[in-house]
Amino acid sequence: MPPMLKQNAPVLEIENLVIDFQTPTGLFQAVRDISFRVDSNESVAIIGESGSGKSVTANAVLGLLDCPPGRIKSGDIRFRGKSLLSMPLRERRDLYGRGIAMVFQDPLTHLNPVYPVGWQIAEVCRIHGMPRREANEHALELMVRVGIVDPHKRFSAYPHQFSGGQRQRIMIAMAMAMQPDLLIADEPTTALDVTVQARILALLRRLQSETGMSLLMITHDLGVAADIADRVLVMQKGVLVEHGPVESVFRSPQHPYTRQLLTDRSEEYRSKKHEDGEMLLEISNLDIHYGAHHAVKDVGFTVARGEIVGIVGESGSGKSTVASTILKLREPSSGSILYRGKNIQSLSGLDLRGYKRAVQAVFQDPYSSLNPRMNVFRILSEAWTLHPDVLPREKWRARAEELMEMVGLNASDLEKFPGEFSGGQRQRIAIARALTLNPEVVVCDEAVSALDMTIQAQIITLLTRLRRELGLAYVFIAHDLTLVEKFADRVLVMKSGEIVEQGATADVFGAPKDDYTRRLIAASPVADPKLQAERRRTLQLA
Amino acid sequence: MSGYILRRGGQSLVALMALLVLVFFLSRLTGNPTDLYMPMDASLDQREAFATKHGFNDPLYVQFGTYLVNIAKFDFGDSIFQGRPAMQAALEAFPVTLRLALITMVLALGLSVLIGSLAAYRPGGLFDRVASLLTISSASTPDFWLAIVGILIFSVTLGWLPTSGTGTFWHWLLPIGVLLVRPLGLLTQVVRMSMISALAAPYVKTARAKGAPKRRVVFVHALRNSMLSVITVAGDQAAALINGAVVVETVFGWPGIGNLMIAAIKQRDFAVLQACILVTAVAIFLMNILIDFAYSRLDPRIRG
Amino acid sequence: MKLTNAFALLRRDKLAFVAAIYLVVVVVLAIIGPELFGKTATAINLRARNLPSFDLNQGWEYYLGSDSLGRSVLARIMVGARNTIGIAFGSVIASLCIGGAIGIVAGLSRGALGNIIVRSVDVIMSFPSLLLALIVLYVLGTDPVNIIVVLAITRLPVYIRTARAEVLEIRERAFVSAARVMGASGFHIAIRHIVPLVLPTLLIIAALDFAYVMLAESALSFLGMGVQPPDVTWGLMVAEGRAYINVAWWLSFWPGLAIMLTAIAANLLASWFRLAADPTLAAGRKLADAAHA
Repeated sequence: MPPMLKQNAPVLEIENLVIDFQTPTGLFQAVRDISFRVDSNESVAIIGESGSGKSVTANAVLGLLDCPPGRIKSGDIRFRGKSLLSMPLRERRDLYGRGIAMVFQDPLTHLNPVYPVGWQIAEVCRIHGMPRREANEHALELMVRVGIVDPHKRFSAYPHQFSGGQRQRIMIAMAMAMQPDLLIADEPTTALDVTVQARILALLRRLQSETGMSLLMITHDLGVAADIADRVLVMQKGVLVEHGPVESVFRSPQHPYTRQLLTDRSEEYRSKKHEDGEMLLEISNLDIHYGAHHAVKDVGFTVARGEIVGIVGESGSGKSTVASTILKLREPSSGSILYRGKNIQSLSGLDLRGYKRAVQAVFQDPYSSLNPRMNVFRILSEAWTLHPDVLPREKWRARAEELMEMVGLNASDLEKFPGEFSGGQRQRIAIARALTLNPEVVVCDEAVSALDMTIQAQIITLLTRLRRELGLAYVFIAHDLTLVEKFADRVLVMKSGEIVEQGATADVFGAPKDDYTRRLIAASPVADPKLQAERRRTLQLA
Repeated sequence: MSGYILRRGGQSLVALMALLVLVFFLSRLTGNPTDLYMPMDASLDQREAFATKHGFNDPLYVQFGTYLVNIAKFDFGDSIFQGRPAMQAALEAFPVTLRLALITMVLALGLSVLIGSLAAYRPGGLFDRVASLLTISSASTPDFWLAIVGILIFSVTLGWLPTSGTGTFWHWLLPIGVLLVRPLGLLTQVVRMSMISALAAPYVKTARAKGAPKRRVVFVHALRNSMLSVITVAGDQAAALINGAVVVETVFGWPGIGNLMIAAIKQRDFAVLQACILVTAVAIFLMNILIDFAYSRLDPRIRG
Repeated sequence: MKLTNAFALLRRDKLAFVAAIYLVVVVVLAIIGPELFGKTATAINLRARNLPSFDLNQGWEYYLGSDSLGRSVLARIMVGARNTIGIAFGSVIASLCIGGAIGIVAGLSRGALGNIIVRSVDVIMSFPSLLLALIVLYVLGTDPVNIIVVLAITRLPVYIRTARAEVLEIRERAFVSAARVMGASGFHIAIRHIVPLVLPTLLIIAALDFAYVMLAESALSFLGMGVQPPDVTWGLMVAEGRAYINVAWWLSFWPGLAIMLTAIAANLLASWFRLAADPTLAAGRKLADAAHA
């Protein structure tokens, strides 16, 4: 059991830490001379985007750097005053799991698939010397404590038999097994739905107040940081650019990067909607079954010219299924989708080709959305080979160059292959491809979810501009409520295949009528510590 | 779990049936199967008597029915050269081959797990590079040639080991050594690859973060996961071992099923060949079921 | 990957480079060997019977020794390259094309067809291939075309499985959906998007398989169920030399070594190609992942 610690004694101190990575292109400095400390019973959040070095720092504390090949070049990491780096390996290993424990981002891959979860929790205790029987009993207690339903039965179940949220509870139980002084949580809620995220964050907060441990949270989500942290550190490209108490950093950020992050989050993207409002898509009584599973139930809505219709919901709500049905990638079981008054199920010949031109898509994963063996010009011109009447061949290159400039890329990039672009640039190419056939509606299925905050903001700005210039309508599917609130004209809230509420964005978010909508909004953390604390209270009451 | 085993077992059963049908139609493809079953120098009268006795003059579907009924009774006709039921000859030879194959498989699995894990521990290290070159070479070695070279070196030149036959412990060394080489090379490559990916898996990170010592990380967390792909390949290899046994037994004059089969081919003793093929096919069928069972024991995800 | 780039990459890996040179020599021999050395290989020279290896007194062609009829082992190996390489190459090409095509169709079809193909593949997989080949060749005769067909059939499953697995993964990628949204036909998607991505993997399999098929063909020859004399393959030469192992080791040794070296070279080149093809395929993704870690 941990000895009683003096109030405000540092649990973790990081001093002038520099970490190098050996990459094929040479040495890359992932962490550049950062120093900070975590005091006892304190919650510290490291905020940053991908490549900021935040996860590398966390991994360095637990000696997990050797895959991929990283190396601590200089600096020191001290745990309760003792340097981890100059400690013998045996002594360090004894601290791991006992004094310092870690919760990882993706619990499915971080749990061993071939052992029962109870065994995996008990393993921590057994490694640190507890007899098997006692360890098993303790593991069972831990499962109760983190809120696993029916723990006796679930003790011998395997990771794949749990839901995402339950798996993360198991990871937390594992980390809490030896009552560590410091819990490091690396994006623990990133892969989870907002309502599940809220419950996991509440669990972490409860465990912290029960045990008095310190919490180091790595996150890209400002809302999560605002929710849980006492102090925040902001990292950018390996450098610690700002740190301080959560209120002061969020209220009056000093560094331009922090300011940028906060404004990106609160930016108003809504532009004026086109007023002519010609009706493009009318969806009514849509039902979709996958075998016995009723994925979409009686869904109906409309999309007018130049309108942005947001669809929000958690995983399994059926929002992406609706999108793929509009895109004719899937047949509905019943119901109709009318395009300019004609049912798209019965379109054929010229009408069908017309529809295939009018409705385009941008998908979530920037890495899989472009064929890696085709250069950008071939990617863009593929549409014109399929629809030769849109553009004569001699104008292809000029039009492709024009499109590239429209989405903010260089015309000279046309000869490059997708592998040479970053995620945000690829998503721009995907948007350019969606524009090749001069569409009226673009379906964006989680089109910015995989991107960093600043990149997200840029892509949304681009989409806003394109709507203004080209009169595009968007069906914008996202799980990020804040984004939809700032971007969409109208919003649909889906749950288990049904639309529980729809209406103008301001109405739905301002005065939600449905109980689920209210819960969803309350669970979605906002980048404002004071406001977030209030929301948390209302959520607990509800 | 039983669903998976049943499905896989059913698949192997279909394979077995397909083999039976294949053998039947192949034997009828060449025209009169009497030519296949009877030796070259049999007289016309003998042929005619044989054909009538076995119903080769009946319609094809009647013949197929008789064929299946006979198989169910384990009756494949008589060996012309040994003057006894073909099945008896096959079943007598089979245990010899089985023992050879089992010992080889156990050795190959044990050695490949050891060498593969060591190589995977430091990918690109000296041990790994030497092991990789050796495994590629051993997977590329023609076993019949290796057998001859082995005899040349250890029997002819050095006089340490007997050239052929069975009996003493020394008789086992060369055949097992030769039979071992290819499965060992292939399995080591598989163990190495799957160990490398298992050691890079996120759950290994978790185990290290728990404070688990290295031995535990490698042998408890990584090895169990990497065994999944190893077992699948070991199944294919066990079938291939029968191939190798055919070669090795002919070179070393072992009275196993491979030797019997090749002798049957040379003597054009079709009944024996057919019996041998079915015995090995049934053995592989049973082994596939065993492998599937082991696989489903190891991987909870296909049980669920 | 440009051709010059590939060459530069190959130069960097010494082992693979040597393997490539060796394979080129073997392939050249397979193409022109019988025309150049056909006479030498069949010439019976009673004055040069059972010559041991490394003896240059009777001329270069006896450097690796000669058999009981005084035929040159070296010349016979060079001539035997055509049958050995030709049969292996023929069956690899056949199984690559047919297996690849069936696998792609199986991957793209969403109905019963895909299932039927997968089940049949499992059936073929659970036979020991050499036994299958033995019985078929026993009945149908050991014509080279029969050998190629039989070997190709026993290797089909590998290509079908690989191609199907790749297609199943690729067809779920967003660029395929994007093409379908634009109205691309299944044929267009198969040709423009699927085949170019599946092909490199299949070629690697083919290189590995080349070694495997060559060993299988040699084993068949050795067992007397392959190419028949007076034609010559390396496996047949090993078999013929076996009877003389006490007196003339070189008769079996050299052709066997040729088989082994060719198989090793094919394996080395395949594993080099796997490494070389990978970074160009997914460089962007790997880097991004590394940065994220």
